[in-house]
Amino acid sequence: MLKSPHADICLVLEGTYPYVRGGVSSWVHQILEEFQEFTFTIFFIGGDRKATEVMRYEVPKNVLGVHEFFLFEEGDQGQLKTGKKLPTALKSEFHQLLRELRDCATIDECACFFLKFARWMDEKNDPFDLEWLLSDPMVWKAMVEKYDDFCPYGSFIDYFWTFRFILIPLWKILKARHLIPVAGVYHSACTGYAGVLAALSAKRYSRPYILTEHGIYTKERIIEIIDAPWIYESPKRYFNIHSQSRFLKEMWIDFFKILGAVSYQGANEIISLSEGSHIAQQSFGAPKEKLKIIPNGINLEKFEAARIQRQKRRFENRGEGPVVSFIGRIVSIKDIKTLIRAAYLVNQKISDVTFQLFGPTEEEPEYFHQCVELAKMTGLENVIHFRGMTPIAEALSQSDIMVMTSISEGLPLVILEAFACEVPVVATDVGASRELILGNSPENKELGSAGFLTGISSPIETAQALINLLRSRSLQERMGDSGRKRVEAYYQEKLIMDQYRHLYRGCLESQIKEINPKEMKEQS
Amino acid sequence: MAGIGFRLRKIMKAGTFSAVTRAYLYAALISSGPLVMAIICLSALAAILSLLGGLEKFKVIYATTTYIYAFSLIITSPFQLILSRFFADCDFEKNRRKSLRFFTTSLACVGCAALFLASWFFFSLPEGISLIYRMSAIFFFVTLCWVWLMTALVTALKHYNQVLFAFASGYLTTLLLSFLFVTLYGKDWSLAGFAIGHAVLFLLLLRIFFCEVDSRGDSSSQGEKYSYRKIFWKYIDLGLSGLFYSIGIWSDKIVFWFLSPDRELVGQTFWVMPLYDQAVFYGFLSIIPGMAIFLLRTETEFAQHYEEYFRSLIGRKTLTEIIKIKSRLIDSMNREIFVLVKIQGVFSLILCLLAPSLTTVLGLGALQTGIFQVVILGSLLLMLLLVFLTVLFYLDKRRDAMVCCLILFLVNSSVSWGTLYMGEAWYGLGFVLATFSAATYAAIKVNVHLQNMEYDTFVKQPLV
Repeated sequence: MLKSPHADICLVLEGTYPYVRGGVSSWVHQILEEFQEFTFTIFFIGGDRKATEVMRYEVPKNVLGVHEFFLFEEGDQGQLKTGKKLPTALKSEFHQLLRELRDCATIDECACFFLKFARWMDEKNDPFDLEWLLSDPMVWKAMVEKYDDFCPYGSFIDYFWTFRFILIPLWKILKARHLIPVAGVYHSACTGYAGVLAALSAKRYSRPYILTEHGIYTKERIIEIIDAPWIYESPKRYFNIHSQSRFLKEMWIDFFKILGAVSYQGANEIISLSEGSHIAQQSFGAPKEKLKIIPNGINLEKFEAARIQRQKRRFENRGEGPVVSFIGRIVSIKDIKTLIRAAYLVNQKISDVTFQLFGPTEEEPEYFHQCVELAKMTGLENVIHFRGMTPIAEALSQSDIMVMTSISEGLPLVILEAFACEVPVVATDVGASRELILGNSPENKELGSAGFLTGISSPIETAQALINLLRSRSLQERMGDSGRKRVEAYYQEKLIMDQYRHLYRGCLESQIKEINPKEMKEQS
Repeated sequence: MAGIGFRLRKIMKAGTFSAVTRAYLYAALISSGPLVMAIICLSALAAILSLLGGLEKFKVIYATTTYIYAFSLIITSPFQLILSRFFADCDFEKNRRKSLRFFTTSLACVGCAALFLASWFFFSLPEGISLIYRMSAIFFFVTLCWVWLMTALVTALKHYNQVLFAFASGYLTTLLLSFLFVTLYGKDWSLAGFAIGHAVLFLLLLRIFFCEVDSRGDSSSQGEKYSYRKIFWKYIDLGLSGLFYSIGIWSDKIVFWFLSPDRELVGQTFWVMPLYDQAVFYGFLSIIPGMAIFLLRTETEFAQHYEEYFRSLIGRKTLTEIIKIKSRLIDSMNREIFVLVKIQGVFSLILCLLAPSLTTVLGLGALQTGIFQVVILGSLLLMLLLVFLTVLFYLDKRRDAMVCCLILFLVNSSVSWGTLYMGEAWYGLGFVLATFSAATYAAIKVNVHLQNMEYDTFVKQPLV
């Protein structure tokens, strides 16, 4: 990989660009291509090395380097060795910090403490190693005290391992601040580990930190954790003296909330794509004055050909049945199973409909397999087609209606793209779907609705909406038209990118005046 | 929403609840079993030789045997503990066959070293000693070394009956053949009987071992590669514990053999000090009831509680429950030690009181009676030391165990050397002080480690 000199903007990305496809990655790619006047470095945080075998995007030339960093490397499985020990002179300071941590009662206080601790580590030049931290009796004592306060009736060995599994990646992120390149602005595309690292680096080099959240990371992790089978829950009984069976899940949830809070506290600008995420961010502790909404935008010209082709196809109408399509990765968060169940219900009423599922299937092979099985079981082999990776314009030109049953979304670009081709959309009411389909401001709403909203994991609602649309061609035309108008008015790429350009300029100009002497040292 | 975040699932997959290693080590048995056996043999030999026409006549044979026993125990001691520990590890992995290569390599190493040392020693003896004597001494030394290695392994298997049978057959052969050879060919042939008898014993033990390994064999992973040297160095503290322990036990005798003004030169070769040696050997035998109780009761009791403790960790218990089970372990240990001290103490006391009449029967003098009594006290302390050492090995505190054995060695050799100047009345003090200080040190360490037990078990876990 290229190692970069000083870049204007350092993008801190977690599990996305350039190795994983998806909405955030497309957005990043858009930004990189748009801002030819700035230089970028990319700091990619991944789970393990396997994720980075294939680059899914061609990285533009203004990217000076792509750095990779892995939270879980194979070499970790070793025995503890004695690492760098905390010098005795610093022991009392460290123990004072531990006491402060013990007194942290809220998520925000914990986040505050973490930033303070990172600053202390900076000042003292990382006085100890992970090995020391994990084997220091005082740390052990503090850990046991937390256990006694928090879950004295829970399985201790699970508590211990959860504690370690939380601590170790966090420690790595803390150490990663030595690896991340110096840049004019730090910009992360989510909270989580990436957000924490961006916040720490920005603080360390006194640079601004911009956080753009597409989905709400904390919320997504909570959803994932709540039904994670790998986190132990003690068996439930009717009569119980305590209700701590889910304490491990609570630990994980609190942990991700703290990561979120660290990002929010460290960020100078917090950007969300939609009204809905804006409110969610506040509920997770983002200060209102930092919040801002910049939606996604698309380049309408790219879809012009597809739009005309689609119109032509619909006009000619060669007697093929209507096509309902899904465009996106076949993964659990998209809840494809609900889509398949809805397809079953639709198929009972309208027999000539076909469902085309466009999108990569390799990310969660097991989930994909289950979906295929489900389609077979419901007798829909000839109705549901998994088409794999397809260019979006091509997919849209073949679609009459687009459907989406995601559990969580940010501002799905694919809805805007559907609108660009005048495809009406049936989508779950998550993320920005509501404002895209119905409009947010009064004058926006006047453009009319561009489809239907449905409840999460409700095949019946999705099916009903699809049936309504399928039965009325004129409704399809009207809704498609509303969508097109909405995109033209509010979601054009140029308008959106100008807002970011303005933001970047502002951040970069504010510090051209003062070049930090500390940074010069770091550079050499 | 794109693939922000990776799958947490992957992290937990490593689920390491089984990463609890157990350090089975029948330390007491391994470090003292052979010693006790050696001393029983030597004492029996002394008794039989006196019956055959007085110890005087067979002085050289007795001295040779004593040397062979002492030095074979010392040179095999580092291997005994390492070998049985590695075997326990393989057993824990349910792959006993894996230990075979390590076992054969150990046999070869020890065999070569023993052969070299014995040949060098016995061929440098002055003229006048017959070739057959030299050859059978060498053969005896090598087989005895192998017997000690086997004993270490086989005792870990806890097949006491079979081991007992092997020893009985081996020694019966020894006795009969020696007697036969001496009457047929003369004194020089006696050691040949010893050598053949021990070879029989070795083969019987080998058979027990191989039956056991095969019965639970898993041939699939037999070819697993590992480096002998790496394992040896990994457990070097165990090896050193064994070495220090056995030198520690013998050092008072060795100091007396080589530095005492009253020593005797036997057969122009062997320095001995019968005055001290016999009293010490007889006194040392008083440890037998204590050892028996320890093996049949204390050790089992401790092992049970120790396992229960680990089960409670893996069994998702709360910390309060874990600590409760730990305190049960400590309580039971206190109780067992008390029982042990009570029984062994009473036994030792009776022996001490009966000492004057006992020593007359055994043919020892008044001065030796004193030494005999002191050594009985020392054996009581040694018993305690063994209990604590075993606990240290269970807790895998190999470094502390090593220091403890080092203390035993240093105190025993230095104080015994001092008593030579202080006069005959003080003989035996070295052994008592050494066992006392080593046992005290071990007790303190055991106390600390038991207090920090849950911290130790968890903090020592591999990273992920």
